[in-house]
Amino acid sequence: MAARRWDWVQLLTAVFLHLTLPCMCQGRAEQSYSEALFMKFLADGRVSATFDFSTVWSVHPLLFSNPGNVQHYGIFPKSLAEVVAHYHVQELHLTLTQGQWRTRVWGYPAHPAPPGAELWAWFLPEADSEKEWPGLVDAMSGLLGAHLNAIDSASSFQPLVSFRPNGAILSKDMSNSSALLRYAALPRETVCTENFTPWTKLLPCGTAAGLGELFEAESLYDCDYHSLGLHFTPHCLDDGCGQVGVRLSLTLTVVFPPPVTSNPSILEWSLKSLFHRPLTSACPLAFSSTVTVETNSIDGVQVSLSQTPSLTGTVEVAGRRRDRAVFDLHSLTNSTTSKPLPPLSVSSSSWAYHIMPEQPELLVSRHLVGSGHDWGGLATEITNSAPHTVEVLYLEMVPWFFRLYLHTLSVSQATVLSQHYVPAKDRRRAHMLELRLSLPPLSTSYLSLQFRRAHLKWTEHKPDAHHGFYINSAVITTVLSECPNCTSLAAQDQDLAVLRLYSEPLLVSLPTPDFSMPYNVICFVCTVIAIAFGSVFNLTTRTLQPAAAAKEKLLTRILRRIGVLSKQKSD
Amino acid sequence: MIFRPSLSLVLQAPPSLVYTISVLVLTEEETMAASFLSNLQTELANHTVRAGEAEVTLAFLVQPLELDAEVIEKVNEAVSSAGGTGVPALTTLLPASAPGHYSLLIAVGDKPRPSRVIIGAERWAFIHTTIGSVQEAVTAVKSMVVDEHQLKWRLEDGRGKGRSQGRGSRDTEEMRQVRAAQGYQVCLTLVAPDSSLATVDWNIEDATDRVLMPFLNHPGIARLANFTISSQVFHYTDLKFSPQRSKSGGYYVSSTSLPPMISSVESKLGSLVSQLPSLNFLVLVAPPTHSPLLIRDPRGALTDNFLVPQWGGVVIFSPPGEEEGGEEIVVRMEKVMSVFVRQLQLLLGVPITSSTSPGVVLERGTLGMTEWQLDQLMVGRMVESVSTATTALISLVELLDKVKNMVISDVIQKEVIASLGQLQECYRLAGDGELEAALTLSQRAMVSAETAFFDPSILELLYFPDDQKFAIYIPLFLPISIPIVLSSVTAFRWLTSSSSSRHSLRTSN
Repeated sequence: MAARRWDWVQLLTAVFLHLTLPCMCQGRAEQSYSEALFMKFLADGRVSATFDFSTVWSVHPLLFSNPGNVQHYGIFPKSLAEVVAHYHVQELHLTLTQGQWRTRVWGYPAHPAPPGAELWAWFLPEADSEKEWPGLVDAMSGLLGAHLNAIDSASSFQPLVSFRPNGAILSKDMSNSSALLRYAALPRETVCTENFTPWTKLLPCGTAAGLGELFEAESLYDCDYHSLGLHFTPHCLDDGCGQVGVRLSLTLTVVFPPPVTSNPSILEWSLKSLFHRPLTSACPLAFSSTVTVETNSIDGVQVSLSQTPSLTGTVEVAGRRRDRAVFDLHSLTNSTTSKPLPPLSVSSSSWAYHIMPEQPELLVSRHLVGSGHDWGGLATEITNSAPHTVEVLYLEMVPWFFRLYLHTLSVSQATVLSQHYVPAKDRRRAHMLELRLSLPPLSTSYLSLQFRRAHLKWTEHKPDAHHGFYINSAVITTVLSECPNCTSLAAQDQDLAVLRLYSEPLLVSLPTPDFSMPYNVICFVCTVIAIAFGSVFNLTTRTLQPAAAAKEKLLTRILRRIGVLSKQKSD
Repeated sequence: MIFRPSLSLVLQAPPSLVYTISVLVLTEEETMAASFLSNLQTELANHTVRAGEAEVTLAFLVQPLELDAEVIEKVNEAVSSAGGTGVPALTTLLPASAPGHYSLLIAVGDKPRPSRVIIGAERWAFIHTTIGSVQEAVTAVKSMVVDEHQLKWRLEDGRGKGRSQGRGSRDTEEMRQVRAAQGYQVCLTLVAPDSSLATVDWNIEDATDRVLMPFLNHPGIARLANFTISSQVFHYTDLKFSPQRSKSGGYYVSSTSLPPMISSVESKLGSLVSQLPSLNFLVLVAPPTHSPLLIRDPRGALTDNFLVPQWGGVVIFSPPGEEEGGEEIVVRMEKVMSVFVRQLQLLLGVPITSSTSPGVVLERGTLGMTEWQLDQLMVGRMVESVSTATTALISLVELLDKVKNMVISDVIQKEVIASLGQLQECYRLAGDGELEAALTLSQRAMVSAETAFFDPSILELLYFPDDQKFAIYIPLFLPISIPIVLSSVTAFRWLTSSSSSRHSLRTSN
């Protein structure tokens, strides 16, 4: 079984197979920057916008990580580069997402990300990843203003095969060792402008020119899905990967609600109507600055453009033709005369909501089963609608305070090819279950797993304890031979594409103690002590004398008033 | 609390620095040379510099300079050459010197003539004196070895009593220097605020190699701290300033508008991984629409650069007018970089040679820096580091006295013990005259002490103050106090009432 597992490792590695030998190339390192925006209608009338700002720097990754005393960063963000170099990181991926990508309707995401924050990094072989990881987490939370410092050893994972390096691979040891990998996700993290503003500071042109001009926090956060990404990878500079550089890709995916129009059969959007900002210039630092619009994303709906594009083209995506119109911002705007770009608007005739797109081949959905505060279960549903068998990797990460029982694992339809399970240790490590599954054609497979809830110490509950605890999104990883439902611009060019799907994170409530109890106990005990003290004190300090029974007692008087005693007397 | 005894031991013993003065008296008479040496030793008695509670003791060890006969011959030739032209050759004749070791050449002339003192760039001094007088020699040694003023304010600085208070007695030179640290990050930034400057270029690699590196690699500078150099380019930075047109045709910004300009860039300059202080140097490219751009200070003088104390420096580069927009603008880095080097010298407190008193000739060193002045700076830095380290340790102890139930982790204990050990070692080395090694150890001690002091686990707020504990037990104290108060009132009334009514009070009860 182990041998077959490594086959998979090699296959996943082969997807971006750029095994290179270090070549410490001297000389002035070139930097190139490009920006691209890809827009398309989604099947439910929503509009997706995917930004990709990437900087490629021809400095060798090992030279980058160990710059010595002098380093000239140019337009590459120094704050990030220092973090990467200081913690000996080879690859770094951070996403901050608000909302869940609806794969069933929207197709596969261009930059898959689970709701909340996700951070994973590959360290260089010489690095002590155990030591570097907490520092890296702190530095990244400082860089993007996210609460990543909630990540500790109990929420960090080392998946064996699900997360392989995306970029060029610098050493042969890397492909086989997950000791250099750390993965962590925080589903509870909320993403807001406090993360977005530092992210825009990493762009060479900021929000002053180019596609960054479109960024207005209010419109970007008033949408259905929002995902910020930061991906640092070693990068091949030529086809044979003889020269290696580094690449920083800053991505942003936004899904806007369907444009509101008076005629429901016509949907119309423009950059101004979506972003509330006009696009006036291209970033002069970028060698390419483009806006691409897909004009026939939905079958039967023709999209017309208000402007003639610089370039039109058709790409073949899984046997289906996709028309794309490319607007080159450099040719549309002249940098010397800052004339605003003519407004681009896109309208679709005969929009039909009832035409649902063909469902993506792979779908995953997970939910919580069971009732009460003791037992519970995870149930995952993986649908394969392809007419052939698909092999997927399934990764489940569960915090230690859910006591997972592996013997309750049941898989229907799918066949488990191999299994890797890391049991939890209380307060130190979480459960991790990685399965390699073979999904039969046109089938829906079910996985289920039972757990018991553990009792936490009262100090271990987070503020707002009744909110509950999250279980990370389950991750499905596979290699697709073709990607008919991808939303991204580039993925289609490759023969093989790694596809990652994230299930919904789960919110589970744990038995919550009464946090006011210690104070209640103090109050109660204090009162008892005070009463006891009072009586003893009175007894010891006062002289007691027999009372003169001359006067009628107060109680007798009250009772007589209300007629209880008077009756007795009259009797 | 384990470290308490040794802490007091270290902190109470003031560091003492020992300088070795090797003296060669150019005379035939052996007895005269010996008497001169002993006279000098008595004159150069121990000397203590005090600043508040802190103090440093300076000690001098005078010894004869042993040279071969032929070398002495050459020295004699050099000294007696007409007009002192041969004096600079002395540097090559004298043995190689180290910090804390100085050579003194005394030529005794019979003719009474104005004394001539030459202080060489490399830790030697030549003094022409009359028989029996050691006064010139003492003055020369003291001015070469000790800068008492610098030592004093550095001692105060380490105690945290200096810059923050901005006392009037402190001059600007002290105010602008960066605090002592183990290393500095020198960060050069090109700021191109305008869209028409997108193609601006600077040949930073070449300028760094040719101008900045020779300065930082100078042994006197390199031993002060580790320097890392980085450069970056910012485009589209909104500088928030509005240039005004000057009469001469150019543009200027007043110096009052500089702080907002700095703070608009400042937010992008910080480092997330290093604790070392950074020195920022900005090249600001003036927009072609406002070129040439200068800064006008309150007195009305125009300049193109300014220094931000303890932070860095800024140079405004105005592109030549004939270049049209769209063409590549290249920043002339030679001039910019030499301004940066000068600003760096000021920030580090590197003294620049200038003659002080008549009759004293100062030899200029490479890059205008002499070895003995760099030695003074090094000693000053060492004193400041030691002072910072001891202050951090004392503050830690004071904090512990204040918050009794504070938990001190093993890491902090380790750092404190390490810091104390390094301080002791530093004192020992300083006493042996090994100043360079002492500086390194003092810096390490400072880092250890500050790591211990700034450990997040000893945040005072993390500990539950005692007065709040009292508040929690209010439900106990309040009901108990009621009968006590009531009965004390009764008791008080009973005590104050007259003895006759005491009886009635008791019976009425």
